[in-house]
Amino acid sequence: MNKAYLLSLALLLPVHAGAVEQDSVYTWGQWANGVKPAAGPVAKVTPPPAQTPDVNFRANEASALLREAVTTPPRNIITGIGDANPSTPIQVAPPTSITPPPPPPALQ
Amino acid sequence: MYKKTILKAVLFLATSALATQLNAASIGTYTFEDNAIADQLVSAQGQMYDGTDWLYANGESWSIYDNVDGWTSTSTPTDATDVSVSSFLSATQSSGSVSLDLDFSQTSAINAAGDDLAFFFLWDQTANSASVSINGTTQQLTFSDVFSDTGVQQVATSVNWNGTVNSNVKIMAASVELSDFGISLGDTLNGPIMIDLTSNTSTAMALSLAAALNSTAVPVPAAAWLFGTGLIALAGIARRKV
Repeated sequence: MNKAYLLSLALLLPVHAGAVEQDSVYTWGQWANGVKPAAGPVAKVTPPPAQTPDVNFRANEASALLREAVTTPPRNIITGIGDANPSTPIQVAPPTSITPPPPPPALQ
Repeated sequence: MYKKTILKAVLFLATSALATQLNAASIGTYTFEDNAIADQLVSAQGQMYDGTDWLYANGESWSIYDNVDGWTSTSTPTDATDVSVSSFLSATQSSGSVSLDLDFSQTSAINAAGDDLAFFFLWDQTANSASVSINGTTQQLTFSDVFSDTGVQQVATSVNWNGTVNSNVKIMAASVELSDFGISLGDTLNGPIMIDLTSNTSTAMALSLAAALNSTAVPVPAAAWLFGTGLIALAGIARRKV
């Protein structure tokens, strides 16, 4: 049994070896020229810098829906305030003088 | 039936909580809680101008002047108690000093590190005078310009004055420390703040609003009180039925 097995193995192995496609990705064929193994003494190759894919997956999103919009500070309840307009002078006094009416009878 | 009512109340409360918008309050670099604005004009004394009308106050009674009818009784103005920087109550040089008693209805000012109360005025007030009286102690206010975090001067954007709407109106602020009025660190201010406004120049002494820079914790919202009292009422009705 053992002899028959070994004999058949000895006959079949060369057949298989000859049948191997030499330029297959499963063998070290022509395609492997310049390719170096990832480990071992010859593996000291500096890999190229990683590239960030330049793909905008959110091109069609409205800016108001972006996650960044959530960080908008709370709404200020104080109204009627703003930054000074540099193109016009800041008003430091009322524009016109006014004359008060006579005080109420209780004051007179 | 009661279960349905309770469910409705819970839903109402939940909806109210969800509808609550996140708010803040700041005028330039002065920041405070959104309920820490002096929203009650308790009483006042004197003749004042709000940009549109002349008002006269004698304690808690108010009068408004009309060219036809003269002085007639009116309700308390909201100019000094709202959240708009552009509205104001002012003393003018020819109408004498004005005294305003302001208070907080939703919170209390507390004495913490740094200044505790801030007062905001319109126009340049450096030649006019204002004083604050608390607990029998009076302090003159020192005015300074108001800037944003990035150093930009802050202005009022639409101020009504005698028929014209003015923008780019200078805002000035003055702040006080409650320790100067005999209130210990950590204690709250009880009672109104009296502020006297005097115009020494042709520029009206215009108070826009007052705020507590340090205030006590936010009180229980009105919805919670409504919910609680509603539950108590339902419990009472249920007991009567039994």
